[in-house]
Amino acid sequence: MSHDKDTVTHLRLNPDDVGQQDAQSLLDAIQSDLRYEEVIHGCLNCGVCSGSCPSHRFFDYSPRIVVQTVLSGDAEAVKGMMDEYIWACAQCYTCAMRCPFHNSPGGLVMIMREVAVWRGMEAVHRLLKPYGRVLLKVLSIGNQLTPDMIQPDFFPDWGPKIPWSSTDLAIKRKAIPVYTLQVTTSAWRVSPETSYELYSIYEETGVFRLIEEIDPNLYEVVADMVEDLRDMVESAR
Amino acid sequence: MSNSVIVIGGGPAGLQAAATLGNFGLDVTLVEQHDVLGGAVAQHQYQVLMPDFSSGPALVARLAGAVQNNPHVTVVTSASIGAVEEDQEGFRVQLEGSHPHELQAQAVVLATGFDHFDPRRDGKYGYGLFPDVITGAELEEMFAKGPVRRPSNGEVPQSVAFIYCVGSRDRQVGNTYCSRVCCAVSAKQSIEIREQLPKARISMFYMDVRTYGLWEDTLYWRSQEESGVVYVKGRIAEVTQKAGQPVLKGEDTLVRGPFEWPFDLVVLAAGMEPSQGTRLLSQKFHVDLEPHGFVQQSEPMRNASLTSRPGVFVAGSASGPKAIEDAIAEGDVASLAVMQYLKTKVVV
Repeated sequence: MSHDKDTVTHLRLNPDDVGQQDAQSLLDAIQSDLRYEEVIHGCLNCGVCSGSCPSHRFFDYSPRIVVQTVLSGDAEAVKGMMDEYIWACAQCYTCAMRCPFHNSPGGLVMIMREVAVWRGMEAVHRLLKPYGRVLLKVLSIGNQLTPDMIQPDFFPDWGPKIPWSSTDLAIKRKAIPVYTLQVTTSAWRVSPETSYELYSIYEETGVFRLIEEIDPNLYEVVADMVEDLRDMVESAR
Repeated sequence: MSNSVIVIGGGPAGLQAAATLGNFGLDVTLVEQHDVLGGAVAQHQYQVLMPDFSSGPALVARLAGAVQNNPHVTVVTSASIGAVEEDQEGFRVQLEGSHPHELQAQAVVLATGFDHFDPRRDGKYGYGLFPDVITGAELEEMFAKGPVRRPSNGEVPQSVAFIYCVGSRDRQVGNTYCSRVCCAVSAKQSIEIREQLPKARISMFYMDVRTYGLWEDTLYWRSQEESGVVYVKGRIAEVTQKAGQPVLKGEDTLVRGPFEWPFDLVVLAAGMEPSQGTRLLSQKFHVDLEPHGFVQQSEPMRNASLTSRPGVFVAGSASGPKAIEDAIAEGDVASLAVMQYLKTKVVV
């Protein structure tokens, strides 16, 4: 599929930027994000965000320093932060709840992370490694987590019922009186047509190109899957 | 007909305005909603005033005496303002209270003052939850009653923290302005606490220290040099409680990074907001408010007391946060403007 230039020029993340890691272009991407003016109004340097921040308490991470560094315009420093520093944020948004300027340092970090992912930065290769299975689910059916991913030992923080929940899945899901939820390999029933449209979106927006950049092995699996599904849907039409 | 003026509000600004107008022979009625005169100074029994450490009770006695002993000033306490009408002869104001009656006046001075920000509205300070977290006004009341003690157990505090900018300079609570006096008042209070507690650790948690003009060395520097008060740059993120002690959580933005720091007593420097009276009477007299909700000074470069409505004047913290000395000065500024207004007004 070819992408129509008029369609992609106003997309926030330009597919042509995948892999582009020049420091100034990263900072430009952050500061030209639609949300940027909403999340950063300036900074009083008061420290309420860091004082509120659970990560600041335990790691070398301060939302105030993130905001100040971005405002300083030091592109190299911002790029340096995108490699490891900003990934300590838990995205709890307590900073945004308390900032007297109504900034959202967590929102700024979210933009920086999205840019880092979109540009396929080294940190992202590292950080996405443990999430191969989740990524595959997102790419194939748009779900992050599915019933068959629940393992007795995987989610201790979900409470003591998790071992029980992971057994006899098919029967338990059948007991849910909602037809679309009576499945185990996806969170809800996803029709092939839905996946078909999803793949078109991924392709048009450059998501597939991004996956190819950051995880070639995963991309190979995805590419096969996409081809099979497209053949199936198109021959059924 | 006589030139009569209603001054609404019996705090420092209103008392000064009423006394000055009375001294010039105008027929003044001073209306105060509470049963005592003196405004916040009397209400919270301020003993020692910022910036000059002069006596609060002596100030109230002098200002109240000046109106009570003035034959041209009628003082009405425990009264509120009902309906207000304006016609060619001036304002007709219905007075409500134990003796309701109608007042007529050619000019009105709004000296309706401020309310302290209620820190319950900003849950992160634990005010109302932890007994040892008090406001600056409550500390003044404590000074008036006797030595400073922890409300929770009556013990002598070994450590005292002041938290600046509570309810000020904060979009989250809707007050984006600086309340001007809290930094200097907190410094004054820390100096007073040091006199009582020579060994206590006294820490001030600030975003900026705004001890304007001449208060810089007389209050800010003095609190450090003479009283050993420590200033930590970092706005407090939250107050929790551990083993019966308030714990301040924040970031020391200049030196040490994150901290969780227990104190025996925590004083919130709660800021100033337009009082209920200021909000209500600005509506009754149809004067414009500025964007923060205080009475708009229509021509501050001409005279600080002018409002959007001819014949209605403002004095003191009804038009914005200010120190007692400035409120008193504005009482005179308003008196001058009232006299100029009455002189040029064509009386039919």
